[in-house]
Amino acid sequence: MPSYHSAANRHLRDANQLFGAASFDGASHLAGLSGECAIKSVLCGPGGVFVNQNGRPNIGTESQKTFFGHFPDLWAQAGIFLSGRNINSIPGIHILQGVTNPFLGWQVSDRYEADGTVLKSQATTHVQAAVDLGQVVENAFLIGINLA
Amino acid sequence: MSVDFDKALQLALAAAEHATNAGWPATIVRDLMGRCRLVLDDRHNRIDFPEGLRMELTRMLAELGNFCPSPSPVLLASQLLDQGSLIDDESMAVHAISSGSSVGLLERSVTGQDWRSASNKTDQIEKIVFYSLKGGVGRSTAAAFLARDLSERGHCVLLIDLDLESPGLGPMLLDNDTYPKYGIVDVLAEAAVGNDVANDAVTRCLKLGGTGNGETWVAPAAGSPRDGYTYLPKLERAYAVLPSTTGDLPQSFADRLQAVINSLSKAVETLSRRPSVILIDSRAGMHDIAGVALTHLADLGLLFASDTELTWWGYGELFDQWTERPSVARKVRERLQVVASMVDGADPGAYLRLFTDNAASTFERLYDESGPGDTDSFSPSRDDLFAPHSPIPIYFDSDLRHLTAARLERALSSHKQRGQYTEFVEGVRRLMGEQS
Repeated sequence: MPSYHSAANRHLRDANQLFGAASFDGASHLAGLSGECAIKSVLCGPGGVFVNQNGRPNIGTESQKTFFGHFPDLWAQAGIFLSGRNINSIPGIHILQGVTNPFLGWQVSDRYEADGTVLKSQATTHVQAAVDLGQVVENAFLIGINLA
Repeated sequence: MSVDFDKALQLALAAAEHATNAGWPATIVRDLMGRCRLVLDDRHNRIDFPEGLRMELTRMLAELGNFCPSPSPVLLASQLLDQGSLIDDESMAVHAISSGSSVGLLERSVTGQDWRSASNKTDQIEKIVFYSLKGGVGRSTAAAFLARDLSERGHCVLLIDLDLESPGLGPMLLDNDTYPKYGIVDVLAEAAVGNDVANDAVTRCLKLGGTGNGETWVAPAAGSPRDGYTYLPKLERAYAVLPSTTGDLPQSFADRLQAVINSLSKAVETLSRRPSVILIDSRAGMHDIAGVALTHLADLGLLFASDTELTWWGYGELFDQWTERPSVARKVRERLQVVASMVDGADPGAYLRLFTDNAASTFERLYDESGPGDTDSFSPSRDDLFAPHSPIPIYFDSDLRHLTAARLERALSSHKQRGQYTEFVEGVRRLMGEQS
C-alpha cells in the first residue's frame, strides 16, 4: 500500500540535496515524483480516489481502469477532479487550478536520458513547484485532513 | 464522559502554557475536526528540543482523547516548510496565560477566515453594510429608504445586493424590464476567469431616483430572467478562493468581493458619475460570508437587531471572536452601529431603554477598560448617545411587511411611512458627517 505523503516528503528532501549538488537531472526527476506523490496523497485521501490492487490511484471502480499517472498530465487531471468544501479549505490547493503547469516538459522517462538533458532553469522550476505542492500537503495535514 | 470539543481546547491550552513557560512558545492549531495540535516556535532556540518535554506534552495531549491528533500531536516550526505563517497570522486568537505571556489559537475550519481579520479603518464613510443575525428585520427596506433620502440630497447611491442566498433588493426595486442583464453572481463567476461584466450588472432605479442631481443605481444578485439564464451553478462557485492573477497571494473571498464592488462602482462612474455612497445589503447570520462584509467591506456596519436573547447571544459570539484578536477588534469596533429595527409597542421609549442596556452589555467586550485620564482608549459610556451600542430606531409599520415593488413605491412617497425612518436616515447621515 503506497504512502504518498511520506514519499512526497522524502523525494522533496532528496531533490533539494541533488539540486544543492548541481545534479539537475536527478533533482528534476525527484521533484516531479515528489509533486506527483503530493497530489496523489490528496487525491487518495479526501479526494476519494481509491488505490487499486496494483497500487495505482484509480477513479471509479476497479474495472474502469482509469488511473492517475504522471506529470505533466496529472497536474490538469487533478485540478479538474478536486471538488468540495474540504478540498477547497486546504490553503494553496487552488494552485492546481492555476493557468500554468510548472511540470510542462517534465517526463518520467527522462530518467533514461543522457546527463545534462535537464537545464538548471528547468530543475529550478520543478523543485520550486515540488516545494509549493509540499506546502499544500503540509497545510492539509495541519488542518486535519487524512492524507493517503 | 469522554473529552468533548470545548474541554479539549482547555486541555490543549494547559499543554501550550506548559510548553511556553518552558521556553518553547506554543501555538495551538485546531483542525477541521476540532483536534488540537501544538506547533512550537523553535526558530530562535539554540538548543535541541528536549525529548523529555516532547514526551510530557504528548502525554498531556493524549488526555484530549479523540480530539488528540495523530500522528505528530507536537510539531516544531522548523520542521515545517512554511515556518512563519502559522505563527504570524492576524486571524490567530490570543489566549493569556498565567505567566503573563500568551498562546495563540489558529482555527482551521471549513469556512473562510476573512471574518477573523479586518481591513484598515478609513476616515471617510463610503461603504455602508446592512447586517443582521436573522432575515426579515427590514434591512432591504431600510436600505431603500436611505438610498431615497441620500439621492434626494444629491448623492449618487449604489445599492448592492450581497444576500446571494435570499436575494431581495432586485425583486423589490426593479421591474422585469429594468433588470440589468447580469447580477452579482454573474460578476463573480465571470471575474473568476478574467471577464468584466460590471457595466451590464448595474441599472438606474427610477423609484429611488429622487430629485435634482441625485440618483440611485442598483446591482441585484441575479440578472434579468431569461431563457438559458442560471443562478445556482454560479452561486455554488461564488465563495471559492481563486489563484492569484499577479503571481502573489491567492484571491480570498474578501478580495473578490472588494474587486466586485470596485468594478460596479467603476461601471456606474462610466455610465453616469462616481457613486458617493455604496449601500451593501449583506447576507444574514453568523457566517463567514456575512461577517466578511463587516470586517473587510464596511466603513460603517449597521447591525440590525431586536431586543431578544437570541440577538444578544449571537452578537456576543460574533464580538468574542474579534475580542480574542485584539488588532481585529480595534479596527472593527468603531465602524459598528446598532439599529433597533421594527420598534413596536405602546411605549417605544421603555423598549429602547431596555434595548440600550442589553446592547451596551454586549458591546462592552469590544471596548477598552479605561482609567481616569486615559484619553486614547475607546470606552464609550452606557448613556453615550453616539456610542456604537446606542440604537438608531426604525419604527414598526405593518404596511411595510412583505413589500412588493408596487407597494414600496407608494411607501417611499408616503409621509407617514417616511416618518418611521426619519430617525434612522438622520442617524446614518450624522455618522456620515453630513448636515441635516
